[in-house]
Amino acid sequence: MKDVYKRAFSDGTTIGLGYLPVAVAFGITAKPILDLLATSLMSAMNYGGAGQFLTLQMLNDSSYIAIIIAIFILNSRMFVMSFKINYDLRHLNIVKRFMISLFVTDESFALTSRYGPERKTFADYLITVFVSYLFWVVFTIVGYLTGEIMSERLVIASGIALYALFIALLMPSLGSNVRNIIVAGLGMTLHFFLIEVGIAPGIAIVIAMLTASSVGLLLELRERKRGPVS
Amino acid sequence: MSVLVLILILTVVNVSIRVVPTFFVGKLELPENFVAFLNYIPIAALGVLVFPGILTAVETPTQGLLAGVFAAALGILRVPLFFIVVLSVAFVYVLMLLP
Repeated sequence: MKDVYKRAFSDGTTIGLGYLPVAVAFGITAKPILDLLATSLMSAMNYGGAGQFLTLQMLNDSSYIAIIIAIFILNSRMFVMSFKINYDLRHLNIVKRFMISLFVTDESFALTSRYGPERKTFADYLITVFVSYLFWVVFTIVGYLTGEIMSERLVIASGIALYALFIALLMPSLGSNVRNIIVAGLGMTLHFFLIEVGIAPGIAIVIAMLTASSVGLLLELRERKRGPVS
Repeated sequence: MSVLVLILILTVVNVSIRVVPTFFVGKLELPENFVAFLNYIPIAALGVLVFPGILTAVETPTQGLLAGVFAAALGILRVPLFFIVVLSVAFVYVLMLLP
């Protein structure tokens, strides 16, 4: 197998293993509410962990219109992430970028943003995002069908999986630069306070993300004006 | 209205959010400062995604935070991503066994 396939496949699998327990939990949670077809279609077509859980939760007591608005707000961050991915891949044609954009998630965005120039290729991106997507869909179905046999403690402990992935992705960039520590820390703090004051979670994510990035830019500009420090 | 109709509408919502940039970013040459700004997005996003969500990721906030420190330590030690994910789950599992 060519190296590019191997490394992209391995990155996709890493995300996929983070998804695995969450997807299983989604299948288990959906079982009392939806049939197998609707559950699988939701994972296959409404791809996005938090949004899917929110949909299940809202199906109990909310109108479809409310669900649609909530999902739009919650997933609006994908617009910013997809924008960045499309800009990084602007040398690819529109069909290729379209295909990759369909599979943008927090995790695939975070992981592929570490790819150096030599990995900004169609194969690297598509294989990574598609392999992780397959994990999500397949293990939703596995959770739905076999959920009862998984120990409850293991399912709960697995809740940390995606956070571990995010932290692992964050660590290398924190070491390289003080500004990055400020941006990440500010993002965390802002997100916390925005939720505390009652801003809708999706909007809170977008505001915190854009504000923290702007501060990163401002700090960088100030440093550039002073002349190179490092 | 059947839930399948809802799933279809949500598909349109989800796909639109993700693919709109595809159509106008194409041959765009963005100003240097805007690109610098975009380059901070992944780091900001990771910070935002980790906190405060990690407080409610598992049974207690303390377990979540301890696992976060554990994952960060593994990250500093340059343990491969895959093992950080698996070991962090095992770490929380063990924490949950403690009295």
